[in-house]
Amino acid sequence: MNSDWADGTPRVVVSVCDDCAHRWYLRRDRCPRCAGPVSTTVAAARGVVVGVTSGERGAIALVDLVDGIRVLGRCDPALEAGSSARLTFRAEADDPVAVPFFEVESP
Amino acid sequence: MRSVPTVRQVAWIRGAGLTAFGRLPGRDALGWQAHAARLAMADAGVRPADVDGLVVGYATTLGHLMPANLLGEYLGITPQVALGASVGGATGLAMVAQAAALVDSGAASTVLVVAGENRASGQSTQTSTDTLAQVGHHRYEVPIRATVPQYYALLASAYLHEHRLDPRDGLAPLAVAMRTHAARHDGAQFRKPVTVADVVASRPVAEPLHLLDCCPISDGGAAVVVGAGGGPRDVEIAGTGQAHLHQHVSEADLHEFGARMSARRALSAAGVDVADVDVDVFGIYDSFTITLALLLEELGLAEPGRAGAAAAEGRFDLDGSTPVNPHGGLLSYGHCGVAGGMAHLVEVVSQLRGEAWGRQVEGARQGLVHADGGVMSAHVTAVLRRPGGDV
Repeated sequence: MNSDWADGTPRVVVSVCDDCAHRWYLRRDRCPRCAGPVSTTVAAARGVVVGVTSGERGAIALVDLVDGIRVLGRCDPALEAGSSARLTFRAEADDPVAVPFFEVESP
Repeated sequence: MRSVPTVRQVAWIRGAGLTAFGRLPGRDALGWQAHAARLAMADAGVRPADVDGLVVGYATTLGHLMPANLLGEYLGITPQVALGASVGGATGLAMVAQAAALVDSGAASTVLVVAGENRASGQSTQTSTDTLAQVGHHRYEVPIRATVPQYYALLASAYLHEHRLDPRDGLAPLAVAMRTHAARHDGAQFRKPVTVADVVASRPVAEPLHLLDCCPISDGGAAVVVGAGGGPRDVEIAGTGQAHLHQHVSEADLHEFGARMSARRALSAAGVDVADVDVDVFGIYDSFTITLALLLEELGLAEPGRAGAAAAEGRFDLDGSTPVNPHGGLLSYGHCGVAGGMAHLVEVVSQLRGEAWGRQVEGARQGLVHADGGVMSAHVTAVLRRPGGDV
């Protein structure tokens, strides 16, 4: 259940505090707000783009997922700040695992 | 003039040294640190034997575990306290805050704070970019292979979207203002004036940031001597404050990075009324135009979404209401890592001493310096006051 894209399982895992219900992305063994125990759930694949950039190394987006966590990923250069995005996973030739890749949310 | 109550008045900046910045081959990191340290010691009138506290910032071209011990041996300094420091771009001010605490507590009497490296000529741009990118989360951000310019570009994208701004109005005027300042300083890496059109026409580095929105990579060094003072050229460290609310952009609050909290703590420590801040000159970290915009706005020096407009109106010029970075900042004086963040401090010291010659802010009595490290992660503020500045 705990494996995620960084382990090679193409999904984002949301951490949820059993005590205070705080939700976060970057793994810890305890809640950073109240030190409560942690449960995990798989994130939904939808979100809103906070910011996007493109450059020599391709396009990157910061996306607030509907689950209440913020995820960094590569993206379709057509995405813009404020637009809806869909979470997928893609690997470039030299990536050891498929990483989050945000596509334009189809209507 | 409004009276400013003095809360604590032990640690002063007694000497300061700042080298020219640029692509200046010939010195390694230790060489730049030693050069800056000697400038600061000469300025303070202290010898290596007088230094009993040594605080030295990390250098990416050195990668040494014990920077203070390394420099101490090189300079013949055998301090009672030696400490290496690593808080990203906030390291310089964090070291000065620590030096002030050492002096205030009596743990040391004369603390030398040093930074310097050959960041431009000692490594490739690619190596520098890769090293800096490690501030990202090792598991969830670094594998995306974002660079530091891209992290800040994400913030710029969010900022421009939120305020419905074009980079031409929202960001470019800040780069122009810093270049205008740098033209008056012999030590600056870039002194040729630029226009808004030049900024937006420069090479895209990480959209919406173009080359002139980004600080250069430089060689150089900076140092200060902190100790008990009160002499005519000594500058009081009236108060320092810090805030460290996140490390990674994935967990940052984009409307409360920590700058406001850090500055309030510093002003409070300095006995300054936060509601009626009376500061004459500012040194604000400006690794990118967006960095400067976000910090100016969180510090209350520009209205939300209006930092670029304020720059275009001249608010941050020498004769503006809020002079910022008269040396040209990281954007134009240059950025060699920890010393880049200390250059703002040395400049404000020069201003408060009345020694900034062709770029002097008239009557500068109180200054505020603020730096951030990481991706708006670590925040440190220092309030400085000239001798007699509280009367």
